[in-house]
Amino acid sequence: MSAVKIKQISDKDVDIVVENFDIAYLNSVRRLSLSEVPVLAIDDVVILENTSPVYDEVLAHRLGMIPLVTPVDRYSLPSECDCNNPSGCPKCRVMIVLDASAGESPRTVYSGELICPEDKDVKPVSDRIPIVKLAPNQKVKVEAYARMGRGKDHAKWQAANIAVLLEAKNGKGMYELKLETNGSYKASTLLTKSIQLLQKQIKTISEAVGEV
Amino acid sequence: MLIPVRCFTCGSLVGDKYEDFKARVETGEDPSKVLDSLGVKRYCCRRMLLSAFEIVDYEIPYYEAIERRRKELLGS
Repeated sequence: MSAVKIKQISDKDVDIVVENFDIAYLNSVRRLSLSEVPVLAIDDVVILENTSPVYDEVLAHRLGMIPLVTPVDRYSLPSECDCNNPSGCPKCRVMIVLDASAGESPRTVYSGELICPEDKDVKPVSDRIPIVKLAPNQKVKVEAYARMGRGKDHAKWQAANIAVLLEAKNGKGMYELKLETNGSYKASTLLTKSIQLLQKQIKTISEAVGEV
Repeated sequence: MLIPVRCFTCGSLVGDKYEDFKARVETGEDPSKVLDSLGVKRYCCRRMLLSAFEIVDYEIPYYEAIERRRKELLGS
């Protein structure tokens, strides 16, 4: 009989010990959590105005790297969405706007100023990430589109920061799986999502084999 | 230019901790203890904060000077 013991769990990380279970499956879960679980990240940026000392491309890259809280099962990958629209539809894309200007004194623009008018659940993981610094009278006006994506395509879509599988200290055939998220998903959601993904992939393979 | 949003190696969020880190180190606290209390535990993330340098702070005074000059010209 295989048994699972939760060693430690919080919103940010999960640590489980699994007994009598095939290590290959556990490793698949680990790898899927790192590179396959889709999360939201800003993908397209329309720069309407940027007079800040930060270049347009640097600004766009910084916006992309900001981890966004992803509502579970609300958005689908653009490649799997049924809209067939290259620019996306409300099911596979969210708009995020940023409109900031400095008055008489320099100031820093933080991620808390990013507004998502279409979906109140989509927001940056932290409100205190500096995006740009503005000198007096400078302005940044940006329209950005967040999409779902996979870690294997870009690091901004990586759901797990850390995913390790190791042999547990006490006992043979016991393995410890540690996952740490960047806050886009809760750690428990990330773990269940990776397991669901593995089940889905195995189903796809067995169906394909069945047809042969 | 500014502090990177995420750690280059593991992808964990570090950008939001920099200002707090900098302010506390400037008051004379031990950087390693500040990093511990901010929950930055891996050395890849710790070096992000320890070695960060915000060059924008050196650029902004020039833009301020341009702005002052513009106002002077408009005023005269």
